[in-house]
Amino acid sequence: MPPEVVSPLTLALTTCQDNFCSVNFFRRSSTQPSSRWIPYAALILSPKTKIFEGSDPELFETGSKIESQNNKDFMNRVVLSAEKLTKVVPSNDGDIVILDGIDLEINAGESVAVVGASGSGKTTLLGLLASLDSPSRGKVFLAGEEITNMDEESRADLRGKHVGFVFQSFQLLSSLTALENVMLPGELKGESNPAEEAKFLLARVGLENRHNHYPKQLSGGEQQRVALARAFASKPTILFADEPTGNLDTVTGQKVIDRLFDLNEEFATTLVLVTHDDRLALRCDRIIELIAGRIV
Amino acid sequence: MNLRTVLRMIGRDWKGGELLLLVAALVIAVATVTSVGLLVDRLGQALIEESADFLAADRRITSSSPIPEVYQTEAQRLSLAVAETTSFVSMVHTPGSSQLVSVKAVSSGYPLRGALRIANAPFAEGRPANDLPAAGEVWLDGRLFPILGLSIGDQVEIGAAVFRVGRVVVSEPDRGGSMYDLGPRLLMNISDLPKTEVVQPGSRITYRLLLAGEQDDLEKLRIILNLDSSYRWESVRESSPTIGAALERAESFLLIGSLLAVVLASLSVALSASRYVRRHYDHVAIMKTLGAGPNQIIYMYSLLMIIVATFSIGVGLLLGGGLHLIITNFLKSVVVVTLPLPTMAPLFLGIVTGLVCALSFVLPPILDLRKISPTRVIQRDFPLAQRPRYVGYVWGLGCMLFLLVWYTDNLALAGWTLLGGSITIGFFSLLAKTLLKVGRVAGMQAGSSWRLALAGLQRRASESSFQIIVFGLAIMLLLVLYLLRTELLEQWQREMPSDAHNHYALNISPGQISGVTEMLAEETDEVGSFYPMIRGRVVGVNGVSVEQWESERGPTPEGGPRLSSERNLTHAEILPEGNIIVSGDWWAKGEEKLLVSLEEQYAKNEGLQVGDLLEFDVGGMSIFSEVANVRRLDWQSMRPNFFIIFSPSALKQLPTTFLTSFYLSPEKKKFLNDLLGQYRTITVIEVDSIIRQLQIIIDRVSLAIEVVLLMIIMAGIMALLASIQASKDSRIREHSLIRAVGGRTRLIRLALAIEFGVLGLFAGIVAAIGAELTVAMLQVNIFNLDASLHGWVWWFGPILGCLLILTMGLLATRSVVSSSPLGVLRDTN
Repeated sequence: MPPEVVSPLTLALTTCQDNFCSVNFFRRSSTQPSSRWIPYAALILSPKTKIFEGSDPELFETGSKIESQNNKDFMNRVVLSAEKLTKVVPSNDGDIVILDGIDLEINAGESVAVVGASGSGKTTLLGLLASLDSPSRGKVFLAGEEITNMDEESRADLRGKHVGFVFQSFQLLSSLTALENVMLPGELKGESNPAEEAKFLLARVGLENRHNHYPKQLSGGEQQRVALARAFASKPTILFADEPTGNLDTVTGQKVIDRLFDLNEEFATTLVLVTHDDRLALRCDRIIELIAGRIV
Repeated sequence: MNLRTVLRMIGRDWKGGELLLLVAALVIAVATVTSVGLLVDRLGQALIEESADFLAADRRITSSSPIPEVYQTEAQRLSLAVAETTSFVSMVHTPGSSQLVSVKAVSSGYPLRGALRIANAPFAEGRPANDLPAAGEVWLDGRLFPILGLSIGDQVEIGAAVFRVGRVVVSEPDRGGSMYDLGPRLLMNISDLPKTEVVQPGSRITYRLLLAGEQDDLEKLRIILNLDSSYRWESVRESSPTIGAALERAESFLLIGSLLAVVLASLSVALSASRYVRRHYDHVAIMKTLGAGPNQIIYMYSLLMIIVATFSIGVGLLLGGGLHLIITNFLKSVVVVTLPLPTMAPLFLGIVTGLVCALSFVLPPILDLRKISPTRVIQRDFPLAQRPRYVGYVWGLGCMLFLLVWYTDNLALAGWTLLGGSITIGFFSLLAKTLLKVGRVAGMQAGSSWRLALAGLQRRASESSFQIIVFGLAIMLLLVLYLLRTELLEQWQREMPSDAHNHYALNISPGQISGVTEMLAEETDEVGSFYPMIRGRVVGVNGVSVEQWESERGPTPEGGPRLSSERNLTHAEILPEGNIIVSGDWWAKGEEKLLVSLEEQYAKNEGLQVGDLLEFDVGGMSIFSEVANVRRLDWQSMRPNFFIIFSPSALKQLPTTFLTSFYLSPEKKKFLNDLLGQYRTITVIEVDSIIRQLQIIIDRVSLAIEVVLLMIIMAGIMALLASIQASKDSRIREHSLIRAVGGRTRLIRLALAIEFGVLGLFAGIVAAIGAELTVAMLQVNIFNLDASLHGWVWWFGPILGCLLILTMGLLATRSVVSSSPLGVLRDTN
């Protein structure tokens, strides 16, 4: 049995991942997986966490020394941060402060749960961090770039390169089939054959037989799995998930979450998960709790 | 994103039905304008051709002096067809008899428009002539045969020449050119004219050069020739005021019809585009989260719209062309219509209309898409950063103004139409809101379906007001067109009743009046008054010779009557029927002073007014007469009309003959022989063929108007459908919720029926008010008719609105009742 709380540094030496994210960035398609085994940080309490048995100790002692160091650097690299992030909205009764001077840093590969009561500002924080909205004050840095001063065109470009989304209400395009929905990020990037990757991802979420089904013809769980496949189709650096199980029953929600963590692990994506589900939050590396727009 | 992806998007939206209504609206817009344009173009050309028959040409130059050779050379240089006619009154002699005839000598090519009809025996059915009288031959009016006791092959003498009678002239296209082209017709070849020796210096002869060809070339010739006052350039409008007025009104109506079609079609395009774009807000927000930037969104949707617009315009052109073919085929089965081939203009009109509609009504909402925030994916009620509304309105109005100006070629008319339309919409908006409030108060007292329906209307107050305006406008336009059509047709019927006098008898001596009256009373149904008539002309104005007066005044407007021309003069004690005094006073009974009354246009052209002193030469006698009043005449009536009427004392001493008019049915035509046999000095002018021709034109204009009305109705229905579709989504959501909480289908159906019924009723009330105001304005300002109220509109409008919207609303929202509440609610989340 692995220990309940493990240092990432320790786990880096004891868990394996067959798709290192930096490799993933450069390869053409997931249909040509990397054959290299790279040590990688385990996810706390993830049922899918793979424990390396250590059958080939040499792997860590000799050939992987440099890569291990790279991984450590990667893990320490901040991919998302916020400084004094504030969101104020005007109302008839005066300004309402939704977020009040949030400071945070999220490292590459980290999974962070944002929890809090309704109205605490979770979704607003996600919107600001994901460059969907602009703050009233403060700064957000995503993948090394300050997004708060960017125009909408540059932010869209950044989202296309680095950000994936999974929403509570799935947000699939109703006029598109499951396959077409998953192809969309590739199409927007101008990829010549986005269908191949989309089919691969649909197979990864267990929907290989549902390519031509429209969202209306799919169950809630299936729709969310299509949304998962679409989120990973853009090969994101950071995946933002907003209450991904909010519209699903417990069993279905659990299955979707398992897939989410599987893929997150597989693609070595940084995860920012907004949820009010404590059990789900506990599966993340870190939990950030918001109360009345402040981190506690 | 490449073209293939955009095409795929179009395919998906098409399959999903998202684009259907927008494409349909654009197709209808283009098809309506194209088919109306094609019909108007072809009917217009047919009407012009038909009307040109009245001149036997497209234009003609008329003078009492010979037409200079250079005129003909210039016309031929411009590739215009030319023919000459020379007309004069002369005596024709046979061994035992003689008769005053109206001689027309014609050159080859006559008539350039219309057909000369001839027969081999008097009063026989005519056939089109393929040739003209050969040299040494004359063709005579049927009436001359019994008068002169002639048969085909006999010889007649005109002046110094003898001719063989070849055929009977049944009708000639330009016979109606002048009501007082006296005497029965004798047609001869122009090459025979010199040998008759009747044309001498000082002879009263009318020379005409007939011209036919392209409008541009004709206009060029007119400018090149720059005719002096002794030559008159004539087109059908001037030579036949009745036809001219009918054409002008028809053109106005068809023009207004096309404009309304465009307005309605644009409304449909605007509504459908707005709905399409609204339904894509979430799509755009999702695509933005996936990395699509504003420019990419605009590129994608603009490309999509260009493809959709091109496709729609193509289909619209095909549909418009097909539709107009179907209608013309239908017309062929109803009346004998020979339509010329259309020009390219209507197709161009359709293409530009489609493009302008797309640019003005599809582009602005698409541009809004770039501002859709991706935050919508996590916060659905995130405010839309749209352009200020007035920008869209100004842009839309600007584009509409461009189309209106293009169609009407009249900035003032287009501007006023647009301003009037905007004021109407503002007024409708106020009215609609008031009606909705009243409806809500009443609805609170009613049962659940009523409460549900009226609460729904009130909840969507702006949407409902907008729909009332749209429905109201569409119904109003239909009512306006129907009212105008009825008004125009009735007016024409009044002016051209089936028993309109179709014969004029002239040269009736005072002693013949009682005998002629008796004969006419026995054989005809309608006999008019007897008007005294004498020929005379103005020779001086206020002590100045008429030549000097005319030269100081400059040339009269194209085709206008000339002061110095010899005219038929009459005298009357009471103001003739249909005449209205516009200045001065009609003289009292028994007035001894020498007074004269002038026709309004005649007085205006010659610069004459009440109080001026005119000197007339009547039969060599000078008469000085003061202008007592100026009259307005109804030239479109077939009654005898006079430019100049004297007070009874003025012509008392002079020998006058009389003129009367009567209606003779075609089967009683031989009565003319009896009349002319008994009273040989009388001349009868037959205008029945002119009236028949007029009635054919009016029939065609009426058909054109009805076809336009049909197209407008289609465009109106499209606008109504688009408007219903625009609010369908919110209705589906609302009623799904009601069903989800236990509302029965029957309740939903009833509520929908009430909602649409009430909307239709309110729209009908609004339409009735608008239609009455608009028609009154158009009657007075455009069609020169009297304004009148139409009682039936006040009940028919609301009932029509109620039934129309109810039926279409229920048909268009079947899915509101049939949609699964779960599916709808799931989509909503």
